[in-house]
Amino acid sequence: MAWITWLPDWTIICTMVALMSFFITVLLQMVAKAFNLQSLNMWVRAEYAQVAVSFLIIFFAVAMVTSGKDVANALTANLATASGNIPLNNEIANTNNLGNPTRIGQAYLLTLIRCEADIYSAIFIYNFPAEFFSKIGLDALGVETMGGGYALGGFVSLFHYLNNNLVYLALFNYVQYFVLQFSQYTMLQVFLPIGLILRAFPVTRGAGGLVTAFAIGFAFVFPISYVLIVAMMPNAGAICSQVHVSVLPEAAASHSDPCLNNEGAQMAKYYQLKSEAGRMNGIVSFLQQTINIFFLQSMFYPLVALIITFTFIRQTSSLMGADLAEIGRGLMKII
Amino acid sequence: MTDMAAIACNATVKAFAANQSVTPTVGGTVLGSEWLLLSVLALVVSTLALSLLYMLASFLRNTALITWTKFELFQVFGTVAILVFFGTTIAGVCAFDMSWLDPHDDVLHPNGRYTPVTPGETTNMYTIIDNYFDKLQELGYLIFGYIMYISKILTFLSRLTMLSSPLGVGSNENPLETMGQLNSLIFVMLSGFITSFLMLQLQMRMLDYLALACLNYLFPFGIFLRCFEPTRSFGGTLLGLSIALFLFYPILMVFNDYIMYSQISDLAAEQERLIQGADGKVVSESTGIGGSVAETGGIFGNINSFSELVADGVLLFVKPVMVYFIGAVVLPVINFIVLVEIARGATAFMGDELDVSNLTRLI
Repeated sequence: MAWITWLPDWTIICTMVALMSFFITVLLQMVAKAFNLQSLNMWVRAEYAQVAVSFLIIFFAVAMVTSGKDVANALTANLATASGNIPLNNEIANTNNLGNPTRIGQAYLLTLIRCEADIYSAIFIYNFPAEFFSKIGLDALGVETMGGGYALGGFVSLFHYLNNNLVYLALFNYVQYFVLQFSQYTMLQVFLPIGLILRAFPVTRGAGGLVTAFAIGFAFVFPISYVLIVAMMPNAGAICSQVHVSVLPEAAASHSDPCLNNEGAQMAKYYQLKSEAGRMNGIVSFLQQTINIFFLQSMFYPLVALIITFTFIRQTSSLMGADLAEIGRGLMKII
Repeated sequence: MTDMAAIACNATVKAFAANQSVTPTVGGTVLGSEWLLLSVLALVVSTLALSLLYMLASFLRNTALITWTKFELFQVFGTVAILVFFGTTIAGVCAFDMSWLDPHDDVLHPNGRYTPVTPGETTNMYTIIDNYFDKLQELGYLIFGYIMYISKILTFLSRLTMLSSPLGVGSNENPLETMGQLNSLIFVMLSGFITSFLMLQLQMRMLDYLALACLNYLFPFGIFLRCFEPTRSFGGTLLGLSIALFLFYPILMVFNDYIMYSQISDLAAEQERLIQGADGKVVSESTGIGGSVAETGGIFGNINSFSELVADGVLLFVKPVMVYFIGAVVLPVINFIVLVEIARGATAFMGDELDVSNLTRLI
């Protein structure tokens, strides 16, 4: 980061820009007095107030950057401990996460993704012989005498349906993971200084207020609200442990050698599949119910966190000079 | 390389600054090649008229008219200031060296990341944006090749059919049929990637269009119309729009480049290393079962069991496309929101505020 090492502190840049705005305002007041322009005079007086607010916002931003992280860490740790969410508490206790809500949220998401991958693997392994036998065909002089599709097609369709849903769930979790990572590396380092600089000038004041609110919202509010929602809601820790410890190893052990390229192996697999029919029904039913919890974790929780964050951004940006409420609905349509 | 550097810094900007006819294919500005002369003439006429009006108001001792005339004279002065500001900015935008943004001290870029320029030229924002788009396009082609490479292997494995029908009696099997369900993940990744790539191309074309539109008719029209009181608001709106789009949009793209290749550069570099291995392999001849399985193992690294292969393979597909999605979709959406706010502020400052909410309702 060349320019950040070259200049000692972003606060100095923002303060200098605010001072520049102050001097321009003074010059404009001189012009207003010279031309005796009352409207310009009134506008300049309002600008003095805006310049003072700019300095206040810079001070507030420095305070947020300096102490906001500690407050966020303490808040997250206390509430997670009180909730009894074991996977979350494990991530908080993990020293690699430094008590940071963003890292904790990311670590928790990776736990979910790994769990979804385990379930995907288990279903994939169980589907392997089932799909093979559903597509097998025996011909006699061009006439298909036997096919497995009518017997096993239902199972195969169910497995495909479950795995397709898991793909989208894992994808949503990954999107959240990357949003958190993007926020961690860019919001306070890039967007906040840009927002403060833009806010100093009347032409770009609206954009600056919006970017500042956006930066603070995604740097603090989004990770904290996500972790707090996770802490308070039911979690999939017990199910994930069961899948990782029992379901997946059993599946891997019973179908670890998928050699179906000769009739002997095929017949052996056929009889194994037949003997496991009852047990497989139970496992599939368990996995089917498990996926419902992941829908909650992947879609509902981040949606609530985003609503809280956007509400914060909307209110805060109005305080800082933007008018997001006026354009918000239309903008969302375009996007 | 996009045409933007050529348009913005070679022909049009220099011709604009020198008040000559620009870009032969466009055939000059809408107002003709002497738009600056026309604008100065309009300013002079407006000033003379206001001066006469001021003298009349003083003679008649009409305080309201005096106040109004002073305000209008200030507006003419403001128009001149805007003209000088924009002209100076256009003339200097290609000379402003932004190489100080280059992360020389980064571990990943010890020699700097920006392409060295020929002596006498500067690393201006258009050079940075051109490099950024080239890099993203190249990354896009690699990602597409990677996805096609994986899809080729999986499709081949899933379509393997073993037939045995001596004397017309036998069976047919697809032992690896189940590998086909991994294609659903690939199709999801592909649709996300295509959206990202199209958004990138749109950004590139937008910059080309803005360089032409703002310099050739938005700004000239804006200045000319702002010289006269009845059309001052509309002219100010055009000026605000041209300043917001021509100046701030490239600046936002420069910060996109900084974010992608300085702040999250290690993440982007990791994905580039991952997909470099797939470059050129789509049309390779290793189509036998052994070759395909070996390539599958090569993609996923040291896999100890079939279940690990599936789990890790599912996760590996997602990351490169996600990183590309950040650069090609997420950042432009943020740019768009910020740009709309800047356009509202600039148009409100110089004339009539742009009514974004009603515009978006129309859309």
